[in-house]
Order: sequence, then structure tokens, then C-alpha cells
Amino acid sequence: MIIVLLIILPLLASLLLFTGKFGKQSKTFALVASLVIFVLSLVAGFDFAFAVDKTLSLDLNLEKLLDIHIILKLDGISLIMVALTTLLVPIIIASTDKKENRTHNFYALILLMQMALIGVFTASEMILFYIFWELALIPIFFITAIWGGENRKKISVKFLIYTLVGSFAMLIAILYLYTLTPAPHSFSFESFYQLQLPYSVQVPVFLAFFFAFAIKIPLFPFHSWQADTYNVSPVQGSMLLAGIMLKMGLYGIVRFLLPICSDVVAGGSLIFLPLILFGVIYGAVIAINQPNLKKLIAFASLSHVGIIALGLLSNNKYGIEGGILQMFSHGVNVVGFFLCYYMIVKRTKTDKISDLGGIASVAPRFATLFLIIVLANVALPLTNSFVGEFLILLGVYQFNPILAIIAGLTIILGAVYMLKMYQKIMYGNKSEATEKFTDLTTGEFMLFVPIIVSIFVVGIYPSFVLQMLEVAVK
Amino acid sequence: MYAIITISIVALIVLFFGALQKKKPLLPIIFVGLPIAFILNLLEWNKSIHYYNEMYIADNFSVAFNGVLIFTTLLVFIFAPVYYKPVKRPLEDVYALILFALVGAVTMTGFGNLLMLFVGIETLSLSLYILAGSKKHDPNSNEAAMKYFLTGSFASGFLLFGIALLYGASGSMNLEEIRQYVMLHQQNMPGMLSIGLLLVAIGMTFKIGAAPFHFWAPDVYEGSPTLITTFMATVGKVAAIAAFFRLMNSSFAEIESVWKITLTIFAIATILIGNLSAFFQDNVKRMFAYSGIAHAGYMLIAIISLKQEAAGVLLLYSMSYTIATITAFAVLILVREETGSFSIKAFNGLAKTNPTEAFAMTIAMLSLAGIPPLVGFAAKYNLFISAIEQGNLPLVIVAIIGSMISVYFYIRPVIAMYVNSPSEGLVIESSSNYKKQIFVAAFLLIILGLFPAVFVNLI
Repeated sequence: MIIVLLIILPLLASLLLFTGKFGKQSKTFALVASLVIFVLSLVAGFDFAFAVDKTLSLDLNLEKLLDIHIILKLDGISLIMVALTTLLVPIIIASTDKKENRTHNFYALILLMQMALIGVFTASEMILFYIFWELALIPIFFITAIWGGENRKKISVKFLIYTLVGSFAMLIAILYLYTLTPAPHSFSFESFYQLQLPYSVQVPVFLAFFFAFAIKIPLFPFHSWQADTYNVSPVQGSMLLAGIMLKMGLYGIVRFLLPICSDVVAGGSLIFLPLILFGVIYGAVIAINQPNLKKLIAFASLSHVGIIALGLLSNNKYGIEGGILQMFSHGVNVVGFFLCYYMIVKRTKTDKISDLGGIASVAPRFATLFLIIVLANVALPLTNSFVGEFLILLGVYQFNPILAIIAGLTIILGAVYMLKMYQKIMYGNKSEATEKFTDLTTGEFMLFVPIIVSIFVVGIYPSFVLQMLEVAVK
Repeated sequence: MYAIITISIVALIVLFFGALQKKKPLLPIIFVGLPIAFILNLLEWNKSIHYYNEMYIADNFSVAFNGVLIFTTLLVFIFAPVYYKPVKRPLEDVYALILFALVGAVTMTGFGNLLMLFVGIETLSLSLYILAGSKKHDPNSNEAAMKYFLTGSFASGFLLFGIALLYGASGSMNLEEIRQYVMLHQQNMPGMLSIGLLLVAIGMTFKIGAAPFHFWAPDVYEGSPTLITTFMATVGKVAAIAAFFRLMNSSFAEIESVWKITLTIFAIATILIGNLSAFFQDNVKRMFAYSGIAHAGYMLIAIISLKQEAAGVLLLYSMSYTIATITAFAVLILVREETGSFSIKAFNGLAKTNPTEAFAMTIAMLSLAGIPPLVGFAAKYNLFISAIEQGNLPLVIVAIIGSMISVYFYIRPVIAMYVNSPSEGLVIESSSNYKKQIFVAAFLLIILGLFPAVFVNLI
């Protein structure tokens, strides 16, 4: 029942907001709603901890009326993703600046997006999953197209078409698998898992799914929509995209590729893992010389999610657990990163790294927080990414030591662009733009608190997350 | 059957009042008459009555589709007062012709005899020829009427010739008797029957506006008065596709090997040509003509994956298509009134000046593109499933590629509305009534999307 609430509440809140009844109070209302949803997800986590088989599920057969068999399931993986969503959305909503003058529709779209995302992470029926998957695209498309920056029209359409092409490939695969399920055909995940597909069938299915996920994540070479879209989108949109939405693709890999196409994953990894690894290095190298801070975040993100995909597809316990943990950590870190970016841009009105400098001397509080987030991004021990990336590398090493060594080297590359960027922005001489840089206000500081807390909690005590995963990963 | 009689009587009354030069009572009469026809039609549910030696069959299939057709016509009439606001004369001829066209359409869904099919198609088409040219002083409208008439009568010729050959082969025009003849002669099909079937199929393909006989559609749709285009694109198309389905399902289901490949090629060509051509249109009205062609292709899939369940799928698809198209056209009419143009640029900034209309248009476009959770998705999904269960995966893949292309051109007006800023000094005024009607239509698209199974399992 609580799963339904998790989906219905954001939807209701979003519909209420669309009516425009709240006027100037829209942000407050949206924030309160998202906090309530966060509390609900905590309750769900509590329920989950006491559930015998470590899953909460709900099975509503409405085929007579709605043509859909609603199966929602909350297992360890879903729970982590739902927690990520419900944790980040309040931060994203709260981060909008009063001066930006966002209308009620903006918040309504964010909440609609939250509903779709939670739906994706809890659905346990293919068509339901697909509906939520597509639905998640609509709000973010409008957020980018309406409130975006320069060239938003072209870029938002490119983004839409790109991701839709991927999803349609997935739809074909889903429909095809459906015909293979024993009669009466069923769309439930269970019936899909029970298929024993021969290798020759697995290959096209794998390609279709992988294509859809690779675009969403995005993996090299399907990443070309990403940097532009992040850059043009308002910062809340970028947070939604990088923090939560791209996890949909990774989630898809865990949910479908690993169980359904296990033979291809086991046999074909040597073909596509190097390609992904190349994307990781590619993203890192571009990030090193990136003059634009927002694009730097985009390429850093490209590199980081590549590593996650690497871990998931290495197809052993360490890699998968580390990958899922890192999905959560990356979401938190990248949103923290975008927050720092937003604080800088709000004050200096520029996102060119060369125009910035010397911020640390005037804003010590901000400098500390930014440093923690940067270090979390380069996977320093005691921060959340360290645990995840360590497990991923362990998993990849078990699969193929050479790949693991190269992947390990990319962490150094990560440190290079992150620290270089931090040094240029925060130290050195003050520039014109940073002359009047003011430190964080209490309100802004509060935004960082949940992020910093989760960075350290997961970094110091990861085992409680890993325990949640254990049953599900098996 | 009573629906046909009622609609005919309403049309005659409208003509009568028009002759008296009375303008006011015309629309009220229609708004009373059509709902009565709608109810009378529904009263025949589950009765399966055969009229006049099986000339007309009122089974659930025809009742359901008649419901859609009458409802759609009602929607068209709801938007008529705004469209015809500047016209002073009573317009009884236009209204009566629309009603007569509806009579033809209703006849087509329930025919039990090929003659009735022909009578229905001709009643519908002849009315539409005149309606296409009803903007007398507009050369485009005249051109549309002429093109439609010439090509349309040519297609009718094909159809009639095909019917004659079928009669020559089987000795009957009754659908049931043709079916029995076909079953008896499955092994050695006379060539006359195959050729007759092919000619009938060509005639029907023309009427639904599917490739390779679609060339009339863009010009006719663009040239005709917009309200008539709406009627043509919805009622005309749905009636023809329902008749086509009925013909294939009741007489030729056993020999699908004869026609399946041809129709599959037609469907693939229609989907690709329709979507690819719409891709390049800057004129929204013309874009809808091509979108209509593409949707005819999707509906052909329902005929190809012929089964009784496919009827329900087709019903859902026609509903989603007609309601979305009408909603979009209603907004288009409004935009055209104020800006005088059908181009996508005319939609610039509509979201700021008229949020309700922009919202409705967005819903309609997303539904046509088949984006969940709107009814357009439910319709396409059911269609694809029924085709896949028949082992028609390649066709579905083409259809999905077509949908992919379609997203681009359906999203373009949406982008124009929400992203571009309005041209200066442009205020589109719409009465609150019109707003409500558009909103209700858009709302239907969302609601139907939640309960698609009701319609799929209906017939």
C-alpha cells in the first residue's frame, strides 16, 4: 500500500500545483509535499527492514477494467533508488532561487517527474515500467524547453528524439519477449525472468535493451545529447537528469540485462566493456580541458556513470553491489556538485572557469563544502564514492585484471580534472566576477546538509546499504 | 437502423428550416437530433438484428462504430458556430450535407450486402465532394472539390467493378454467402474472385487514404474548409476503415493468404510515406493530412491481424485518433481565425496567450504520437500486441519506427507554443465555451487512456 502512496502523492501534488491555486506559495507547497514523500519513503524503508523476504509488493489485477496488471515491488535495489529520488527532489525544489521567478508549472513538472521516476523504480510489470519510463521524459523535456538557456529549442528536441528512439527499441524487445512467454502471455517481470532464451535470441534482445539504456545513461558513443542538454537545462533540470534520470538506464541494466540476457552479458562482456571503458577515459580527458564548469560536470558525470556500467556488466557480486551503491552515491554527489555550481553562477553570473578565482578567501564555508563534494567525486576514502568504486574495481578485476588496471587509472584522471578545477575556481587571485562573492546564507547551507551527511554516512558505514542489496542481488 | 432514419429526418428538417431562411433553430435541432440518434443506436446493442434480407446488420461492431461516428459528428458540430461565425446565411446546405455524409458513414459500418457498401460509400463521398468545395469563392476549395471528385469517382469505379466481379464469381452480393462460396472454393480460387477482391481492396484503400492511393488526401485536406477537413479526416476515414474491416472479416477471413501480403505492403508503405512526408511540412493542416495517412496505415494493421479481438483494438484506435484530431483541429481553427495562417509559426507563444488551448493541443499531439499514459499509447500498444500475436513482428517494427518519426513533427507545434515568444500584439480571443469544449475533448484523451480495456473488450 505504501508503494502506491509513494506514486500517488507526487501525482496529486503535481496536479494541485498545475491548477495554479497556490500562486506564490507554490514552492513552499511543493517542498512540503516532497518532504512528506521523503518521510513516506523512510517509512517504506522501515517496513522493508521487517519484511520477511526483503520485498514489499503489491499485486492489483485490473485487466478487466484498466487493461493493466499492476504489479509494484520494492526490493533492495528499488528501495535505494526510491530513497535517492525522494532525498534529492526536496533539495532540487528548495534550491530554486526566489529571483528566478519560476511559475507553479515548474514545480508541478518536477513532482510529476518524481512520480514517474518512483514508478520506474517500483514497477514490476513491463508495460507499467514502459509507461513510467516514457512519462519521465515529458516533464524534463518541458523543463528544458521552457526554462532552458540559449538554443533550448533545438537541444530539447534532440534530447527528446534521441531518448525516444532508444525507448522504442526497448519497446520492440519487450513486445518480442512477451510473445515468447508461455501462454497466457504475461508482462510481469517474473515471467520474463523465467524465460530460458537461447543465445541467438538473447543477442538481439540484449542489443535492443542495451541501446535504450546506453542512450539514457549515456554511454559512449550515444552520449552526444548529454553535454548540451545539461548545459542548456535550468540547473534543477540538470540535477534531475544527472542525479536521478540517468540512473533509470543503469537500473534497467540491473533489472533486465543481467537476468534476461545473462549469457550475452557473460560471453560478450569482452566486446562492450572496453568500449564503455573508452567512454570513461574519453569523458575524463574532455573534462580536463573543459573551460565551462557546467559542461565539465556533464563530462565528469559521463565518465563516472561509465564506471558504474562497467561494474554492473562485470556480472559478479562485487561489481553489481558496488555499481548499485555507486548509483546512489553518484546521484548525491552530482547534485551536490550542481548545487555548488549554482551557488557560484548565482553570485558571479558566469560559468567560465577562467573568469573565476580566489573564492576560498571570501567564502570559507562554501569552500569547505565544495571541497568535500569534490573529494567525494574523486572517491577519497571515507566518502561514499570510495566504497562503490572500490567494489566496482574489485568486481572488474575478477572479470579481467587488465581492464581493472586501466579503469583504476581513470580515477587518477578524475582527480586531475576535479582538483585542477577546484584550484582554479577557489584559489589564486580574485577576479572581477568573484570580487563581491558572499558566503553561503543559512538557507543555502541547509541545502548542503543532507548531501554532506549522506556522503559521510555511506562512506563510513556502507554495510547497511550493502545488506539491503544482498537478497536482491542474488 | 433507427439511427439512420433519425439522422436522415434531422437532415431534412434542417433543409426545411433553411428553405424558410431561419438560422437560429438549425444547430439546436442538430444538437437534439444527434443525441437521439446516438441513443437509438445504442438501443440495438447485443441484439444483432438483420434488416431487409441482411442488407443491413446491426451487430455490436456496427453499433460501436456508429456510436463513435455520431459522437464525432456531434463534436464537429460543437465547433461549427465559431468556425462559421462570419457567415450570415443559414448554412442549412452545409449542415444537411454533413448529416447526409454521416448517414452514408453509418450505413457503411453495418452493411451486410456489397450493394449497401457501395450505397454507403457513395452517400458519404458525394456529400464530401460538395462539402470540400463549400467555400465557393476560394479557388483552393474548388480545386480540392474537383480533385476529390475526379479521383474519388475513379476509385468508386474500381470498387464497383470489383463488386461486379465478386458477384460474377460467387453469384451473390451477400457477405455471408460470399464467405460460404470462398470456403468451398479455397483450393481452386477462380481468378475472377481474386481480381474482384483486389479491385475492391484498391477502392477501399483509396477511401481510407492509404498508400499507394493517397495522393488526393493532402491537397483535398488542405484546400477544404477546415471544419470539413476535420469531418473528412475523422468520420470519413473511420467509416471507411470500419467497412473495410467488416468486409475482410466477414467474407475473406479464410483466404487471408491471398490478400495479406498485399495489404501488409500497403500498410508499410502508408506508415512510412505518411510519417516521412509529414516530417517536412510547415503547414500544420497539410501535416495533419499526412498524419491522417500514417494513421490509416496503423489502422490497416488491425485489418491485417484479423481476429474478432482486433475489432475492439480498431475501435479504440479510431476513438483515440478522432478525438485527438478533432481537438487539434479545434485549436487550429482558432489560431487560423486570428493569424490567418496555418503555418507552425502561427502557434508561436500560444502557451502564454491561451494556456488552455495550448494544453489541449499538447495533449492531442502527444496522444497522436503515442506517448504514454495517453489513449494514443494504449491504442497503439493494443494494436501492436494483436499484430505480434499473429506473428507480424516486422510490420510492428516498421510501425514503431514510424511512430518514432512522428514524434518529431507532432512535437513541433508544441515547441512553438511553449518555447517561442508570441508575435507582437497578437491576442487570440476565444469564448469560454469554446475553451471548455476543447478542454473536455483533451480531458477525454486522458480519461480514455486510463480505461482502454473497456473498449478493446467491447466487441
